[in-house]
Amino acid sequence: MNTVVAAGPDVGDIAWAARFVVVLPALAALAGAVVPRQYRTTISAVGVGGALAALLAAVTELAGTGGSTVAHSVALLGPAPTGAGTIDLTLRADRLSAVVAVMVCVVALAVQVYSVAYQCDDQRYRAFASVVSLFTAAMLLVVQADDLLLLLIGWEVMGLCSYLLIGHDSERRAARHAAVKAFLVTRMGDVGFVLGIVTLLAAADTSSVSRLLEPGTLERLSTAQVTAASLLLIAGVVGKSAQLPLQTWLPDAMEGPTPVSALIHAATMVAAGGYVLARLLPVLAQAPAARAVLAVVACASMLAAALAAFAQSDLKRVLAWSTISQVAYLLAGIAVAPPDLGAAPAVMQLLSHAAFKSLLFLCAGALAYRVHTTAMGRVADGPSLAGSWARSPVTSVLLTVGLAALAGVPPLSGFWSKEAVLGAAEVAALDGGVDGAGSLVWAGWLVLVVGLVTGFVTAAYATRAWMLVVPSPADVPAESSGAQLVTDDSPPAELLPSVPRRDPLLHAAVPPAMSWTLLGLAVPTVLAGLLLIGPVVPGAIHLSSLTGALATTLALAGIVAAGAAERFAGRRVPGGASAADRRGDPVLVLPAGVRAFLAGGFGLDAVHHALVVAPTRLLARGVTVGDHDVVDAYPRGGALLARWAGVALRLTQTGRTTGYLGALAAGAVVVALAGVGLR
Amino acid sequence: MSVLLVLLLVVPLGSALLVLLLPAARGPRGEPLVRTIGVSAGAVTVLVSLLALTRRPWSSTDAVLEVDVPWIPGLGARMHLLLDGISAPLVVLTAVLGLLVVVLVTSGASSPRGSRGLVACLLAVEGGALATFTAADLIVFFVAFEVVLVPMWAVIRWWGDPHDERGRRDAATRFILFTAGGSVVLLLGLLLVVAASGTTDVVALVSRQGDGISQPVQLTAAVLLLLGLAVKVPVWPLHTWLPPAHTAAPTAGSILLAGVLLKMGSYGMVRFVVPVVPDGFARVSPVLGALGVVGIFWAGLACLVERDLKRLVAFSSVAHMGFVALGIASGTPQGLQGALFANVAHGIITSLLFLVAGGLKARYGSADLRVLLIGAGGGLRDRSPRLGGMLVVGCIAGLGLPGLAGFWGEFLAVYGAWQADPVSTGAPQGFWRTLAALAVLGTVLASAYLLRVLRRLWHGELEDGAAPTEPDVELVRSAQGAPSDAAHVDPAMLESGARAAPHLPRDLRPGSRWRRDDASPVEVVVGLPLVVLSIVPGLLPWLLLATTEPAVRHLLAVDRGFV
Amino acid sequence: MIHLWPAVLLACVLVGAGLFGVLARRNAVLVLIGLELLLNAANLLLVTFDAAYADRLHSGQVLTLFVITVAAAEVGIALAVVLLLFRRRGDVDLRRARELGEASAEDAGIPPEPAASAAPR
Repeated sequence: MNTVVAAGPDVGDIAWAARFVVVLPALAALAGAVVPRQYRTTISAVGVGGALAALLAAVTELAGTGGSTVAHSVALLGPAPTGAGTIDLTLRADRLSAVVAVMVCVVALAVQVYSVAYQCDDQRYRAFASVVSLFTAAMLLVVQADDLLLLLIGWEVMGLCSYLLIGHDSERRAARHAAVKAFLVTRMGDVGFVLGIVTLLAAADTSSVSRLLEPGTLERLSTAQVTAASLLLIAGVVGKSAQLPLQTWLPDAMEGPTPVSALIHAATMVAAGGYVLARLLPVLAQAPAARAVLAVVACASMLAAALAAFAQSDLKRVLAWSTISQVAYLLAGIAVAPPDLGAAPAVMQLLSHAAFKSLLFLCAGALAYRVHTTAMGRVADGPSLAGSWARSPVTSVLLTVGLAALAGVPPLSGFWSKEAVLGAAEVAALDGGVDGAGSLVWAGWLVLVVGLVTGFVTAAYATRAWMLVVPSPADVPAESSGAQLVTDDSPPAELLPSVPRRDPLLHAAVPPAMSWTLLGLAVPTVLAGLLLIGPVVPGAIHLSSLTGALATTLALAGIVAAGAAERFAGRRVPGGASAADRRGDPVLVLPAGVRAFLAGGFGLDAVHHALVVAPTRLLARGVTVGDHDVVDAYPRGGALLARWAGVALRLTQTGRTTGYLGALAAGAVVVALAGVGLR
Repeated sequence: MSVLLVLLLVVPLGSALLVLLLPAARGPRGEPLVRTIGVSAGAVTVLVSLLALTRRPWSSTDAVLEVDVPWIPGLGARMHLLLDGISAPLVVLTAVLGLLVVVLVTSGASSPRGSRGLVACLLAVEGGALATFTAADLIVFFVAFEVVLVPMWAVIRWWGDPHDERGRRDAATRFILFTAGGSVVLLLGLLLVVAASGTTDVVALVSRQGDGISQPVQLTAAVLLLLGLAVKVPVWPLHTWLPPAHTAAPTAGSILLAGVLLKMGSYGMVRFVVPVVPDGFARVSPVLGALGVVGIFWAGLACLVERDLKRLVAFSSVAHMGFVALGIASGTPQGLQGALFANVAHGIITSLLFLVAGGLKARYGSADLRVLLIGAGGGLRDRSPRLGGMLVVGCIAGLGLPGLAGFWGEFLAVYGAWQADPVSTGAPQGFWRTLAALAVLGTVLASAYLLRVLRRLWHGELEDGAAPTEPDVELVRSAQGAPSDAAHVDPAMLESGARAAPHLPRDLRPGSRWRRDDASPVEVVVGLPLVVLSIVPGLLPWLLLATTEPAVRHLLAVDRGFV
Repeated sequence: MIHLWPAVLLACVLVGAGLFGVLARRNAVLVLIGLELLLNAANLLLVTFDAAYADRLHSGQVLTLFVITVAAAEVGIALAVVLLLFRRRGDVDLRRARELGEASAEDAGIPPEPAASAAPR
């Protein structure tokens, strides 16, 4: 286990680097929000500068912590006394946090630079840049937090930024709806997260990860406590990482601007849950039941999301479902992490996924920059991305690289990280019983088999996406297709998810700020496998040639299958019998009912609505009636009673003097008798 | 340095009298004088409260400032005031809110009655509340508790919603009857405690921790005291006076009502029930906790369908105070810390929300969400960025987002309930943990209704996403006091809101250089401190927690091994 | 030593006569006389028992003086009222002088307010 030291004078620079990593982007958010709106350049400079400064600080931190296993505890917001202990609110600077922080800063920087060009027509650019900076700070806080409550602050602020950015184009009803949905669904999961923290805090008397992981602390807790806490934390992670059954918000979240989808809904926030579990792996290790649940959830999400991705008709939604699937790999890596390997495979998957998925999203944005849609399709029923090769060859190549990494084609990053996860599953499946973690055996087999099958499906949907986007449709001359699509009348805004409307003539080419960003992100996408060599990722990675060969074969089989499906589906296209178009959408090989089921996300939206939304609305109406007619009936009844009593007592005031005197005399007699009787 | 404590009470109360009695302050020509006296009194009170804060160390359980002189020898009551860690945050909050409301009413919205009486009433409420929060004698507490009622009644009755005379009267009557009814029960409880213990001094009562009061008497006293204070908090189902009162009250009144008056109930529970009759309180606490959680859900559900923004914020107050009740009921140091934190946070956040709601109502004549949206001609996001920004901060802080003020109180209350002692409270641990889990679920409800507000007002969405219908237009016109003759539909008026609304802030009157759609300078001056205060305690929770902690431990006798 | 019972008996007779006067007579003056009889019955008892029990402070006698004073004041005011009554009405019949009473049940004139007025929403 890592040793923890308080930040003393000798490690002062690490401590300050760790603080700056969080504080600088937060300051950039604040500064960006108060700059007058018309100074766009200043606003851009503040946003980009904040991300750059955070990156420098993170690199400094990495340089200081990279080679060692020492974790530094850094005071941030001061200890807060609860009356029965204190909440430390400290940061933790160690190798894991530094590596992930660097990754977050790189993606954030890329997104800030990219959106200077991408959001150039946006009237709300100031708010956009500011919230992205705030998000960066929050994510870095999550990455670096040593205290679970500090982590919770970052965790929820990320959710807030996600809400604000999904609803950025609030003119569109879909965007407003998606924003609220994303916040509420993740918040539902966070109920578990908060209760998990409370459980840990109550059981171990500390919310500090370092103290929790000190030898002897976890041993004091009962299995029930650890299992309950782990399951509750996993519930929060399921919400934030959009795993089944709380995944419904993520595909809708694609209503947000594309750079936001790249940063929040692919590279960082949705993967943060996996990071948190990796941090708390020793806690999970004490709760086999919780890990089993995690493995099952991850496997279900992995395969189901990959199948759903195959049936989507919008590139961003394909990527959204693939995010769910890829993050599920990450979580599966944690669920089966054998004690000696630790969370290294999961962290590896986190890093490589961040690289290739942000590349993919930003490529999608760059392609959509010209055609104003992210819809895919060959049929001439509306604008689509088809034929990108002819319009933007460089971007198309980069998209191809990203899709290949997603499909797990060696030697790109996706291959290595997926191998790492499958390798860990293999270790768990084969040796799990030996070192006492017996329950991991079946979980290991489950993850191994489902992971391999999902690899096949992943390759298939990646190939399908490529075939629908990059090559030119055979029946349309390549040169004219883009131009024709652009000069079409713009469809109504509601049909265009998250693509800014702008004058097509002004945006003939992808601006350099965007294309250079894409090139920059392509580097880690290709080379992330090198991380395995250096001492950067903590822990060990197990790679086996058999699993690797199997996975590669299945990935290639997926590619081939998608190609074959395309040929086969081409024959089914009405009118496709003409020699001009022998190719169709590969998804057409599936029956229409299955297609609709997969594309609609398994109907879980309807289930959520029936189980949660509708009953809540009903209850709310009941409460309104009840508040007026039941609870408030008592005060009103009291008022009525008082009025009636007044009416009744008024009747005794007859004006008959003798009557009053008689009552007086009778009263005197009663008093006298009482006096005698009580004596 | 007890002179500070005396000044704290004398300045607002004395200024209230001064404003009322000075002949020069009468009439329209006296307005500047009223403003000078009111604002300087508020500012001096804030200064004095901050000076009092610097009298550290709070870590000692001894009262930092204390006044103890004989008052009514026949009753054995002494004028005993003290300022310790529990009072200090509430005193500062009261002083700050007092200053802000005086600034708001003297430089902002004007009333046909003039601001003299209103300022006097507000200062009197402030002074009475400060006395309540510093009282260390049961009789002093009760008197101070009652002092605020009449001026508050006047604020609602005379300076309330100018559109709804009848609603104002009903709300004011309800307010006075509910709270006075609660006070009767409270007085019975206080007298029972005095009779059983033989002293009215809280310091002595706290140090005894209920010794010498028999179990049945403790139980009866706890029930009576809690019942009396619960009306003020308000705890479900005694809350039905609050939404009408908030709806009818002017913005300044709503701010004081939410930020100060409600706190008197929860403060009374912490200071005069928990340590005074601990055994009796422990027996009742499961009921209090359960009612708190019911309140969280009840009010949250009501907010989901409520159309009137001010009523919605009022209901959300009930939900937030449910967390306070849960924290107090837990009887744990964490729970009490959480309750005290949530007290202060709720005061700040709800004040901010009422500032925005009141400002919108003054502009568009109604607080109905539809009317506001149509009147504003779209979401506040682009039309009124400053008002919209305040609304966003208020809503987000109100839904308990970690990192903002609303979070810590709710979290610690939940943590406290999770840790509540099953033996002394007589309720099983599962019961308390269920309450804690349900309370967390209640925060989701809070997110749902506050995001609904944002979606409607900030993003600008009519319920069904449709254009304004003819009934809506009718609604807006009647809210703005225009003749409801269909022949006189003036689309321009609907477009821009009521130009002729007589209750607008003064600096937004026609001819002003400020855009009347967005926050006026006065609203910014009042709102900005509230925005900052909504954020800072969330980021630096120790500011409040470290102040209250020693006093809480003392109240619960943690260090003496009772808990 | 005088026996107590004659004084007590006399007091009882006075009370009975006074009560009859108060309850049964219509004439206001006679009612007042009845009241005086009641008061004097009380005085007689006070003096009697003061003498019988030899109270050191003679509180019985002191109270009697109080009662006499108060009765004098009362009669002064009451006779003034009776005089005014006679001037206004021409008689002093108490059964007919009912202006100060609440109107009888039939014409109570209480506005039947709807429940909603006490119950604002």
